[in-house]
Amino acid sequence: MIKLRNTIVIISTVFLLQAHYNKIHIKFPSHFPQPTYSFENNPLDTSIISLGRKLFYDPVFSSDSSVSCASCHSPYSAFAHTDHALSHGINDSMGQRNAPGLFNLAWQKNFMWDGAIHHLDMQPLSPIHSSIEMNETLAHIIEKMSQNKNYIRLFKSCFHDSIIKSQYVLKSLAQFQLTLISCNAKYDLVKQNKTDFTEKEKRGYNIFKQNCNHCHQEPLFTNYKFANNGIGMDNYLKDLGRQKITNHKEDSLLFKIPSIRNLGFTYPYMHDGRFQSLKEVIDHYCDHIEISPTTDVFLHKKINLSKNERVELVSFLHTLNDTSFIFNKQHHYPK
Amino acid sequence: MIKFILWIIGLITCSFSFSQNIKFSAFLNNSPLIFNRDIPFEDSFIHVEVFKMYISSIVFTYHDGSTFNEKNSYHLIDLANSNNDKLFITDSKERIKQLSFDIGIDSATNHQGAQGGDLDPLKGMYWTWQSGYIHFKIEGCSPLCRSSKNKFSFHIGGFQYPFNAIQHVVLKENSASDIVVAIKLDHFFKSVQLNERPNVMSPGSEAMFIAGKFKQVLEIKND
Repeated sequence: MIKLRNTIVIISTVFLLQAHYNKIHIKFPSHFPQPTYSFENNPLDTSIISLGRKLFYDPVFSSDSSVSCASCHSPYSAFAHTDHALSHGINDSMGQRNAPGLFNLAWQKNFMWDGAIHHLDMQPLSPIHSSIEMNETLAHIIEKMSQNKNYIRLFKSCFHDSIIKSQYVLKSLAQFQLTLISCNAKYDLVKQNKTDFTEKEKRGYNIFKQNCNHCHQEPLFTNYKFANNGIGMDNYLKDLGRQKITNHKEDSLLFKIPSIRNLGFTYPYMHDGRFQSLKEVIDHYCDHIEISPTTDVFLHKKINLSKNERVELVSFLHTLNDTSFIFNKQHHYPK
Repeated sequence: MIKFILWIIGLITCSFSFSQNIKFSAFLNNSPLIFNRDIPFEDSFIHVEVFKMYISSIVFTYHDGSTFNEKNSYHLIDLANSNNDKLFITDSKERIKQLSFDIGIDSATNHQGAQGGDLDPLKGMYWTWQSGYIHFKIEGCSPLCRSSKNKFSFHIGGFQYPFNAIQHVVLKENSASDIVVAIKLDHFFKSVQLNERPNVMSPGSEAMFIAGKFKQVLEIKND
C-alpha cells in the first residue's frame, strides 16, 4: 500500500514538474532594486521567451516584410541603432527620434522618448502602426502568422490555444524583452567587490556622483523621470516631447531620461541623435546649456569641469559598457 | 450519481440566480438612431457611422439595500450592431433599485498589460500612438461640421491624472423587466458644439469636457 502511495506521489510530482518546468524567474544582482513589471500577469516561461525572441527578429511585423524590431534595435548595439541619428522605417522613411537601447526594461514604467506608452506589453503597437516605421496593423500580422504552420504550432504549445491572439503576441514580445538584462558591466563587478576601478575611473565616478547622478541615478542610471536637458529644439523636427502627451506647457521639451548604461554601443546620443561622441555630450552639459522656462533646475548652475576631469568622467562612463550583454547568444537572432 | 449531484447543483443555482438584460439604445431626433442614414438635426442632418463604448464596473443596488458587483466587469458595446448592444448579467436577486457603471476603462485595468476578450487592443478601442483605451467612440458626418468631408470623430479616452475621462454613471431603476439605457444624442451633439469642435481624438481637457457631456445624456428609458 505504501509502495502504491509513493508511486502515486512520484507520478504526480513528475506531472506537476512537467507543467511548471518552463517557468522561470527574472535574475538580477543584489545591488539592483526590485523590478516594477507586473510578472503576475505574464509569468516568464522559457518557451514563451523563445517565441518572443523569434517574433523580435521577424520582419512579418512590417507591411512589406522589410523591417523587424531588430532592424532598429540590434543586439550588437545594446538593442539601439548605432550610427543612426533617427530611426529608419519602411520605404526609406525617416523617423522623428533616435532608437533607444533596450535593456533592464522590467524596471521601466514609461516607454518612448515622450513616455507615450505606459506598459511594456503595449509598446509594440506604436512602431507597428506608425506609417513611417512598420506601417502594419497587429490584426494583419496575426492573419499572416495564422497562415504559418510553424507559428500556429509554437503559439499552441505556449498558450494552449489553436488561435493566435493579440495578447499572446504582445506578451511573448514582452517576455523576450524582459530577459534583456544588462548587469555585468565593470561598474557592476566593482559593486559586487569582484574588481576595482582604476584611479582615473574612480575620479570619474566621483565627478559623476557630483554632477550626473541627480538624473542618471545608480544602479540603473536613470531616475525614470522626464527632463529638459537644455539642448534646445531642432528647428526641423520641432519636437516638443512630453508636452504632446500631457498637454501641459510645463512639459515642453521634456524627454525621458535614458539609462546611460552601454553608452559605448548606443551612439549617437540624445532623443534626436544629435551628438556623435561622449565628448560632445559632456561639452554640452558643461558649456552649452540653453536655459528656457522648462530647463531642468539642476542644469541652471553651470557645471565646471576641466579638460582632464571630462576625460576622467568618460573613462568612468565606459565602465557602464556591458560586453557580456552584447555578446549574449541567448539574445541574438534565433538559429 | 455524479450526474444526479450536478443536476441538484444546477437546480439550486437556477433557483437562486436571475438574469438582467441591459440594452443600450441611441436616440437622435427623438427616434431610435438609424446608422448610416441622414437624420434631421437643427435645420441640417447628422449621419452616424460608428458608436462604440466601454461599460465597466457594473453594480446593482437592490430594494433591500444590498448590492451586486459584477466580476471582471468589462463590456464593449457596439450600438451599430444589434448583437452587441446589450448585456446579460446573471445576478443574485430580482428587483434592482439602482444601476451604476463606468463609461470607459479605469486606470488599474489600463495598467494590466496585454489583455483579451472585449479588452483586446484589436477591437479598435485602443490607441497606438500612445497607450490607453478609448472610453467611447462616435464617428460620422454632418454639414454642420467645418472639417474635411464634414466629418466628425470623437475618440474619447484618457486615464492619467489630470485627464482621467472615465465617467461614473448612476441611474435609478423602477421596472422589474429589462432595462433600457437611452443615450440622447440630440443633447450630446448640441452640448459639444459639433460645428466648432468636430474632432477630439486624444486625452486632454477637451476630452474631459466631452466625456462630461456624454455622461449627462444617459437615462433609463421607461416605456
